[in-house]
Amino acid sequence: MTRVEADRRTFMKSAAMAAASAAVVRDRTFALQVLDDAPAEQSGVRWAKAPCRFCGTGCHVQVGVENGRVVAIAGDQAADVNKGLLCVKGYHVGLALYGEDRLTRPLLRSGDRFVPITWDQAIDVIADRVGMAPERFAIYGSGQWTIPEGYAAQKLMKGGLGNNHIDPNARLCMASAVTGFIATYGVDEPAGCYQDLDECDVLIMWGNNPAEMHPVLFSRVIDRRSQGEEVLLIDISTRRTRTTEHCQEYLEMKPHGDVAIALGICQQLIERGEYDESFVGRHCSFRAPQAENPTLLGEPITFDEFKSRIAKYTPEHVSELAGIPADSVRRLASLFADRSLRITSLWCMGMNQHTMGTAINTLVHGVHLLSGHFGRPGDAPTSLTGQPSACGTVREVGTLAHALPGGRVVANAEHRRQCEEIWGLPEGRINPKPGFHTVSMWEQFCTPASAGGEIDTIWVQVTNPGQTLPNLPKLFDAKKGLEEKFLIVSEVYPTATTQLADLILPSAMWVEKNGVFGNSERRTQQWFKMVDPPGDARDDCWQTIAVAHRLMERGHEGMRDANGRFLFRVEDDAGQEVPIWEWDHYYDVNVDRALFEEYRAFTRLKHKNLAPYDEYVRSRGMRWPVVEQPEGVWRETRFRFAGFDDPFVPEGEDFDFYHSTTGDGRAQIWFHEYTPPPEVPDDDYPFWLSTGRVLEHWHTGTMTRRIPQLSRAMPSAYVEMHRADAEALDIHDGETIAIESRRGRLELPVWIGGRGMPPMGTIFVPFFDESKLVNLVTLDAHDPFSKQPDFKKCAARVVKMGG
Amino acid sequence: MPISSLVITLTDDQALADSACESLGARPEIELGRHVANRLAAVVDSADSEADRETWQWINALPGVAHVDVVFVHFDDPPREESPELHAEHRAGGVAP
Ligand code: SF4
Repeated sequence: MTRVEADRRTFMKSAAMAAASAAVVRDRTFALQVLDDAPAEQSGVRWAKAPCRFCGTGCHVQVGVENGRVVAIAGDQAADVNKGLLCVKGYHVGLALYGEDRLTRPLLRSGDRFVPITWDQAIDVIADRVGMAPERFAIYGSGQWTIPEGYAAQKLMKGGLGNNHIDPNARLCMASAVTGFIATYGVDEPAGCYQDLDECDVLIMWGNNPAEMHPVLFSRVIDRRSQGEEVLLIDISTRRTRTTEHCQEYLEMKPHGDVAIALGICQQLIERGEYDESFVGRHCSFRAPQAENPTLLGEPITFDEFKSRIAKYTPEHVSELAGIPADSVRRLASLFADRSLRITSLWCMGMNQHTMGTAINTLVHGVHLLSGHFGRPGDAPTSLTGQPSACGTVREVGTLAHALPGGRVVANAEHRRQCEEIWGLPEGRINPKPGFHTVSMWEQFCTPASAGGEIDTIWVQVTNPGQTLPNLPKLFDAKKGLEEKFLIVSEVYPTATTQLADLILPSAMWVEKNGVFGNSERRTQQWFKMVDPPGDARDDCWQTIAVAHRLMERGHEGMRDANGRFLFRVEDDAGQEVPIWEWDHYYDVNVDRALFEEYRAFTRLKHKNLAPYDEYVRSRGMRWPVVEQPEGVWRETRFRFAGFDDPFVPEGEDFDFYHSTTGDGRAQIWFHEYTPPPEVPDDDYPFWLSTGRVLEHWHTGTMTRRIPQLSRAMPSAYVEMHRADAEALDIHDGETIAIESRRGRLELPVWIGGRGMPPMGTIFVPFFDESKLVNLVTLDAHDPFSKQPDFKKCAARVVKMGG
Repeated sequence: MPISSLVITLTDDQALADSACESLGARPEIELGRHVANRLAAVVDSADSEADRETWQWINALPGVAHVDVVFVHFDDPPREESPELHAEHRAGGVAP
């Protein structure tokens, strides 16, 4: 090492220590920009802000760039979300750009091989496929799309092609949270924010493992304890996890037991006369699903009907259904009966990937509403998302088959009219019929046209359905050999999905492009491009716009607005159109800013108001609704529907659910009958199989498995099983066994006494490993309202190999 | 040669926490910084990414350590390797040169 290098290293170490020390003493004024002022031989690193690329927590990082490469990452001390801290994934996020097998050229399938083609040819291929049968074309997108990317895809499909077959992977992770919020409050997304974690006295995690999935949020709670605060942590789960280790109380429930537990808490609150009569009387109504064709509106029921329907969910009955002690149900009810406590409920996939996903979401909201544990900091039902922009791009931009931007739906004529007006489209352009949701989209794609399959071409952006769809043999692998089907995949690395692709488009990722995300707490976060993508990789948003323009060149009238102008017209300061469909000109203007400003007009209907783009440039994100104050300052909102903070609650009111489905400012407390899971263990398949994530890998591992530190820390998937079950089957730790379900088979090693500890009769397999695809065996049964599949439970058997 | 800095949250059990501090302080690649309440600043200076990973795992598994957050990482050398099992099938399918 030269002296200059040694000096530089010493300097970096002192900067690293300064950052850690600032975090230890919670000094929010510490800024890494001090490094910018260091002598060049010590630090040529330039720093800029970005949200982390991985989970929905939305931590802010400072990205250090030197000689066109990301060389350093630091937690952003100025960021409210993470206060300078990162988890092991965020710490390595910069390395996700530099896996050796980045895709750098468009590739077209030719038999069993791929041949490089030019971008011009690739755009032509897509335009050919769309032009051939626009109504048989679909886009499968992502909660990792940036807001402008999702907005552009949405506009191309619904505004341009009059085609609603666009749905995101978020259908697989948070669709039930959406339907739960809409059914309860008439509008999507949490009322509270992460501040709830700082102020709650009790934190109940419903099938949630934040210690591994949202570690920085969990560390906020652990930190409170380290400062001597009393916080009661309760874990309600089907297996012990790292989260359980930190909890004072652990309730091990049977699969679907959460529904019974929520019903049981409500039953106790009412039977004991301990519900919040005043809050309920002023702010709530009661609702139940219609007997025929149930909808999210349901039908009204009286309090007495609610009381009589819920009466059978006694602690003893709940104990039978859920497998937890009856006294634990009473204990939970007593906590909710205590108005002096502040209680936050936290959930993610455990409640969402559930055939009763909408039901359990509404029931947990109902527990909070019935007990009046709502609307004070720390008193909140709060769902988390797994992807960095599941909220921003999917739920807000509305990239779902039934939705339009800003909380609108295609089935509503007035909503369609509003969108056509904002987009400047001729009347009637938007199709009123919802498109195919994720499971049905892939079912249609994997069904031959001759057998009625209605989708021939799918364009996948920023996601990996070849690994994440349930029941892969039916919903993905069945594409093999279907000549008329064509799969286009925009990706950064080869994946399980690109293996079946016909056309692969190399994409830019994260700080290789401009972007805007929206995290789990309604926070919209902006960043600028910092480095170039490798080779010929290009932004997904550009790819969409280039295809739209090619279609226009070929005479597709849908690519023009009512004035005959290009759907994605962007002008420079002089009012001249910039040819953003040509890559060389894409960054002549800030396309993100142009699309975001256009999109903002959609956000006011549902009071999800956004500030101008430039406000997000200056901030570490802001939580909507963001409203301009008389003095010109843009103010964010931490707690919706609560008079003390939400600008849309009328003066003098303590609460107003201003998007109430009943139009009277009330939230709905739902009754749903407990129903058993669609598949339960039996003699042939005696185990419950659950799937999920691990700390080291983000979702399908396409990025994190290319980071050697993370890959070596967690190299491959495994099956967790209880020691007694293993002994009964003569299976030893580390031994390779087979898991079989009615849908498929998978071989993988056993981990006994590992990180997660399932009870007897349950096995768990993570889904990050593309060489061990657990979705070969999962079930595609889904929630009737949200259409979200249940990845958390199906019946399986364990087979000893060679035995 | 990664340099990373960590905030280590120690357990409430003081004896365990003290012993964790002692073990951390004994590792040459770890430099300890400010210690306020249960939170301890540390910088890890590793020879390579493998050593960095081992240190990370060792700290996480150390009795007396409740939680580890990361604050800063500098990685001079981008990775030159990937998991061998990754995409073997894809490569077998072949991408024409
Ligand atoms: S918690 Fe999520 S957003 Fe935060 S650093 Fe980790 S992966 Fe990134």
